[in-house]
Amino acid sequence: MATSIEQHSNDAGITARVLYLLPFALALVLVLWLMSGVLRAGGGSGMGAYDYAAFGALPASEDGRVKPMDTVARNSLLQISGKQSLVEEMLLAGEDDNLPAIVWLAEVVSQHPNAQQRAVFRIDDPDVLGLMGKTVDDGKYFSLAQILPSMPQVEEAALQARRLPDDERTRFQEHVIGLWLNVGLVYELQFGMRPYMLAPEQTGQDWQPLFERGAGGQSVQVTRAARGRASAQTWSDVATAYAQEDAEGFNQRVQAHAEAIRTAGQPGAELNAKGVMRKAAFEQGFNAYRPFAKGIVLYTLAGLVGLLGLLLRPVLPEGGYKAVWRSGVGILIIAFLLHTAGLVIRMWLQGRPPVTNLYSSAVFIGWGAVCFAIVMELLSRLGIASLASSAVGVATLFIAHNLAKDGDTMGVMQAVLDSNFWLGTHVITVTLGYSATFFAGFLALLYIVLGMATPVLDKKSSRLLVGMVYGTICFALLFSFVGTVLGGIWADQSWGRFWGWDPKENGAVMIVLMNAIALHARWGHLVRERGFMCLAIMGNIITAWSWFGTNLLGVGLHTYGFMDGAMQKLMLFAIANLVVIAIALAVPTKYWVSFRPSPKPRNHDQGQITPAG
Amino acid sequence: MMSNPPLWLRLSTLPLIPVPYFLIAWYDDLLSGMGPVFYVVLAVAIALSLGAGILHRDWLASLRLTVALLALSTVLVFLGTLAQVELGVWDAVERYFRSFFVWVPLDVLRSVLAPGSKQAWPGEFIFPGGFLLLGLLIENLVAAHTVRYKVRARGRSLGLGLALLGASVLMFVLTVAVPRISMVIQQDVVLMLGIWALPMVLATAAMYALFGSRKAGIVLIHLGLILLLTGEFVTGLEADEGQMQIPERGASNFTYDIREVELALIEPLENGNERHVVIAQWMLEAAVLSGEPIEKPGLPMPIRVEGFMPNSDLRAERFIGMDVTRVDWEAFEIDRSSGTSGATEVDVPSAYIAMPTQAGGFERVLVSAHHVVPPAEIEIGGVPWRVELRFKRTYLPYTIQLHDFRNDTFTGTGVAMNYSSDLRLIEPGGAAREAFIKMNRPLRYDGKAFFQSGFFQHPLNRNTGTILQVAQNPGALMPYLACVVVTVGLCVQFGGSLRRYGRRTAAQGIG
Repeated sequence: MATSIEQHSNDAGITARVLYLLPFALALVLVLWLMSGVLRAGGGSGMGAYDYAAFGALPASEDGRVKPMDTVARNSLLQISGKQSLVEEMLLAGEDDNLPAIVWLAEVVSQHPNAQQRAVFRIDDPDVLGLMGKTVDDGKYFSLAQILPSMPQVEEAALQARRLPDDERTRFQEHVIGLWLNVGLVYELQFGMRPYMLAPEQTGQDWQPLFERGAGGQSVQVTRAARGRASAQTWSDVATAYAQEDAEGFNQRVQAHAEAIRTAGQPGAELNAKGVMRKAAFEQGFNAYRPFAKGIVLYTLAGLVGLLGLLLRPVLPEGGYKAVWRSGVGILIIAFLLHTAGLVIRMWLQGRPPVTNLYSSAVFIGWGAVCFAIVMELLSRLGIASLASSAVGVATLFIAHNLAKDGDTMGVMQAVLDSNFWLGTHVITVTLGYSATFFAGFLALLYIVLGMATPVLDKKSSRLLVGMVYGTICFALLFSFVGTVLGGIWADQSWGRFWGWDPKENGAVMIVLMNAIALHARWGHLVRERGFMCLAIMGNIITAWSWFGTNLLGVGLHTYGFMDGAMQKLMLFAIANLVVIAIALAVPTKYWVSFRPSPKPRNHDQGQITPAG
Repeated sequence: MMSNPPLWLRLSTLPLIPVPYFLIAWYDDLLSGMGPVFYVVLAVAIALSLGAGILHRDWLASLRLTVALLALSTVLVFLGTLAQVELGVWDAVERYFRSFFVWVPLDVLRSVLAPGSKQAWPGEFIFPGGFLLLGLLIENLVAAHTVRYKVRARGRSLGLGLALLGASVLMFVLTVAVPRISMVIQQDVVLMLGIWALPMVLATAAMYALFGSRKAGIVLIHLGLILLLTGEFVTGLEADEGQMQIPERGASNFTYDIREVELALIEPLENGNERHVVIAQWMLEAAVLSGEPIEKPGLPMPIRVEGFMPNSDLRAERFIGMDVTRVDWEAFEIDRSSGTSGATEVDVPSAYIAMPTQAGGFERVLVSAHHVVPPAEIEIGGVPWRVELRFKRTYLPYTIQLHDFRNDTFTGTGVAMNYSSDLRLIEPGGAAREAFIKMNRPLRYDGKAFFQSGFFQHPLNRNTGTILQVAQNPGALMPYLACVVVTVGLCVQFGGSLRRYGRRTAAQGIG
């Protein structure tokens, strides 16, 4: 009898220890997974005899920024095909795997015959296809060889369409201009006009291309730099070797070109060649590692584990629930650290504060929300803040992934925006305001969903949750107000005008007003918990509008298709939020699963959330 | 709590509430008639309006009204943003934000609800405008402070609070009102925060002493908001904006207003100077409507205006002789620019005027703010006058010369990396000083700020020159001050709630 009790308590001790160690083991596995990715991104990509990794790390200047060939390849392919690597339709006979974009770029710059045959141009518009004598049944992707015969018609239609103002063009005209520009891009890559691969050799010099357009734009001529600079010869050698399919020669000449750039930066010259090459190589590794794609995986995992914990709480023993909760938060923290690393590396590569364009704002909004959430989760231990933040994390990184199709995500900034001080103060604060408002909105969504459909909330935990939303909205008001006014002050410093009623300014002021509405309504007892949550959800709609909607009003900066789709997606998001509000207001709380008055007294330790740990 | 005043008093004071907002809305028309008296009248009207508001505070101070007004304001800002697609920024601001009521066409919602559809939607609805909502929000705020945020301090702490507040206000006023200080701190935001740190601490302490820790933050927030709105009113009433164009190795001593033109008749004088007689745009437009010629002291002859185009484009009718640089232009009217497709878009007016010819008849002459159209030349009494339509000028008592303009772009792109102008400023006494202006780094002088705005290139000789934005705004520092006050208020308030929340949860053993 005594031994059996001892045995039992021993078992319990072992179980407790296993449960205690489980989150750490899980974290270790994930960290190992992330580390192995670093090794793979840093090493050679191991594709045949060609050293594509070394080729992809070569620096060149494009659109005003020095970047690795790998980034040039990815962005160019993304622009013409919407993909970052060669997918099935773009492969030639005998190739059986996803090939990286750098392979395609090597073919294009060396004028290898494969470049003509790869179906890398995505064409969706039926009228553009009709112009080429094709239909939608012929597929989405077409090769240069397929397009060239009808290029005269495409060019004529594009030039005609370009004479119209942006907002008067039809869908066909937008698409035909797009195709014409895409062919032009490949043409520039093919003829050494882009990127600028010749490194500066003396003070006052800049990166230069091999060829440039002659007067009138019809002819192509050798640049002056191509005659004088050492890297002109080495670059041509690289291309020649690739065209001759001489793998060993290619690898040697890539090294020779790298050496030419490295030695170009003599002491006293403006180019810090070693620094530039190191950065380019690092950026290539960053591209291959794809930290934000891994972030989506981790946030999803954290969300699933968190949800599992909430739902299984009634059937799990206390220690088991605690282990699941700690695992979820652990994964969230690992994802957050990865997210932070990605953000910091981008800042270093770009030499700028984290938010410089729409893409980076998406990355930063997610980061800010997760940052709030981790603090809240560690304080409240309800498992709900982490759930909301994994949703925001996945959503914003996914949006960022889609925004990356716009082109270089680290592009240069217009002169008036070129102020790290204001980018670091105004933009960061106002974006944190977005983060906080979204986070409050997602918490409120969870309150309604969990409260209506599951038994996991009770009086105490729902009060805690409302307190969290209240605190977050206070922060949101602080950040959005200060950020908005700082924007006005920046404008006053830049052109002497504090407020101009620009759509983006108006959007920011709407967020401030919305947060003020929620807080005043609460202070005046005009709303109770449910109404306050609905106001927080309204914050989602307003923030989405000022983040994206205001950009969509200015006509003609993006292609027609993107604009059209984006406004509809924004509407869908707004409608979805409104539907949740409507349902929440229509169903009295006594019918909500969580708040249903129970016929018999329930055991308070089961079924509802109380803080873990 | 005071009992409600009698009904007759309430009813009779109700109309006083909106008066100041009407005065501000009609500022342009009133000021020309009243001069500086306007400000005295405005001050009295504001005092009466707020006083009347206090009599009505039973409903005017309610939080329900606050929330309703904030909600309406959010919708108004949204509608006013959408309206910019059709109307352009300036028209939309006038109609939606600088008005009491606005008729909103349902069509503004089309760009959101049915993007891409080209068919306009019929119908419209009425909505409260910016002046109405903002005015009511101010009344609401002031009334609320007489009800919910009374001074709690008595005796010594009241004296202390008032003394602290007085000291802090005095310090703020000094930094804003003394041009030598305000110019410097406006240039350097970090220095500004340093100088304002002490008065801000004093003000916060005063609020704690007067209102207690729970309400100190909110009072500061509301005070800051009032400062912000006051600053915007001052800006709306007193700020002036112009531009200045200087060719390289050239000079200029005037700014011009790109939103208004004037017709100038220029008489060369014996000593090499010129005499400019100018006719304002509204007179030209009135003359088109009435058909009467314009007569004005100083004019060598009555001017008959045959047509005025607020925005115009040109086409070349024929070349004059064999010289391709001399073209006979024809102007035609185009839609006024909306301002949405780029901040640089400017309306360029043209006009046709009738000028007497040598033969005694009249000749139709084009005058235009387009640079390529040269001034018309006409001989009156043996003197060769020049006649030109130009953007309205304001002359300065000093001259600015441009040594060099630089326009750097990023390698291989047209994206501007930096614009900068190397200038020399020649002061009224003849003393000269060098100045350098670039993006985000203006020159501040004579209460004005000169910002790098852009550049121009002469269409024929390709010479470049700089375009400066010249802003004068006595209320420029108010938003800065408001921002600091509100930020401190928000931190005090939310920091306080956070601390109380922490203490409460610690007491209850949660977390």
